Amino acid sequence: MNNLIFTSLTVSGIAISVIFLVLTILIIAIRLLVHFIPYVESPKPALKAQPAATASPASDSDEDIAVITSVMTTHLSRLPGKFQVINIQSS
Amino acid sequence: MEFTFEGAANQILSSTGFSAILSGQVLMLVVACVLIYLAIWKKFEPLLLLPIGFGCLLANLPLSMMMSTDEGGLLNFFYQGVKHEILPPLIFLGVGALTDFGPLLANPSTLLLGAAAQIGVYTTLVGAVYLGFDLKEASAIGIIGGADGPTSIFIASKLAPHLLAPIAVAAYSYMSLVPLIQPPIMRWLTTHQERKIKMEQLQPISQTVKILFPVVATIICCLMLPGVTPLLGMLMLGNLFRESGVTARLHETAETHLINIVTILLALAVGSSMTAESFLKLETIKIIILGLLAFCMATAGGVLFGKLMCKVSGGRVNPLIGSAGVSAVPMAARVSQKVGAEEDHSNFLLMHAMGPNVAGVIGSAVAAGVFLSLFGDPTAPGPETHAAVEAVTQSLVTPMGN
Repeated sequence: MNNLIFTSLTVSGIAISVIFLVLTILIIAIRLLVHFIPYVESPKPALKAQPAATASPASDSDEDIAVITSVMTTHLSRLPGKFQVINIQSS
Repeated sequence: MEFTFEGAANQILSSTGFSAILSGQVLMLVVACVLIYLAIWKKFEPLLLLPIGFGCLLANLPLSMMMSTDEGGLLNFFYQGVKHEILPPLIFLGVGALTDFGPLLANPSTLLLGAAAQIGVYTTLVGAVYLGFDLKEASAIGIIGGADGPTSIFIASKLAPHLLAPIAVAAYSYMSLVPLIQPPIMRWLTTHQERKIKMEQLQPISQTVKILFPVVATIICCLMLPGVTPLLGMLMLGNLFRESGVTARLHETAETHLINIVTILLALAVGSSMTAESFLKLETIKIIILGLLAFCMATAGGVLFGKLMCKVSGGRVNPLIGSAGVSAVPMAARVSQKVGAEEDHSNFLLMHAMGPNVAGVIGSAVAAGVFLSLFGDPTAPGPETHAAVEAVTQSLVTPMGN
């Protein structure tokens, strides 16, 4: 039994090392891809004026707000604390 | 042929399931009803537990020929998809079509969180060996810690097919319990200050990189671990359908109809393997306990590595996103968001947690590949072909008119 546990510990050590190795190589590959093919912002289409949002109903889910805020921070290149999504309205 | 009333009544009575049902089958029917109850009324992974439960119910009705081992039975045909490793990779095709690798590509270091969460797999492997399983069985049990149902089924069908049913049930049951299992561990291992850390916005990623990533990842991972090719190859193909922009119909099919159909077939096949002989054993209880250990250790591994990344990065990584490294997309990422928002309502971790979450999918597939490299025999002949499948194959290869 002790021998088998020692073997399983050895297998675990080897396996976790291989996983870190494979994923580290993948990280390097991704960094190279992102370095050599940078993001280029596409020209923004003209925006139509939208009607102002009304006060939020209490039913807006936090998760939807989290997703929209994350996308907006990325799109506007601003920190999450700098603006707040107040409500979500279906069109 | 002449019938007497008494003779006909006796014959009908002896042909009913009531005359043949055994106590073990009755118990399994109760287990099936519990699974169906959990799926419908408790909403525990209903898309999977409901068909698994019903498959179990069908398989344990005597004389119905619905067990996975009943040659010529309907569910035996479905089970060929598990036995011949067809269905789990097709699920991965759908998962790839559904997955956005953008957050992972924007912050590739989170791949390490997906690797760290695999610690749960290996601690469980050691635990399983301690409880008396051999190394192949222990590997199949340990992969439950990857929190990835198709991967668990894939490995179990290769390394320990006799444990497939309890492993699949444990994997899917605990996946549905991620919102209950993870938060206490996350709170216990992190401080208030760490949970409040706001992470920097993710950088935008070029569409070309998103297209190239599945190709590059397939080449790297599958060259290093060929055993993982069916799973990872299908995952990346599904993602290529999504990102290429030229296969809208294939992408739509993979992420909706295909994954739904395959889920039905896979879950029914797994359910059909839940017979009294294979399920009502001491091993099943051990696997259920080890499965819980696997999920807890995987969560702890991810969070602790998140703490390490937090220290190394000078406090720019919130350790809560580490728990999402256990795969279980997107539930684990939602848990990170929820626990973070409890501490600070304006802290949005969801997109950051999606990086380690999809890294967990890759990590668990890689962990499976390592097991196959260590214990799988690539030169071994495949499982024997089903007689009916062979007949169909023969009819296809025989020229018409011969």
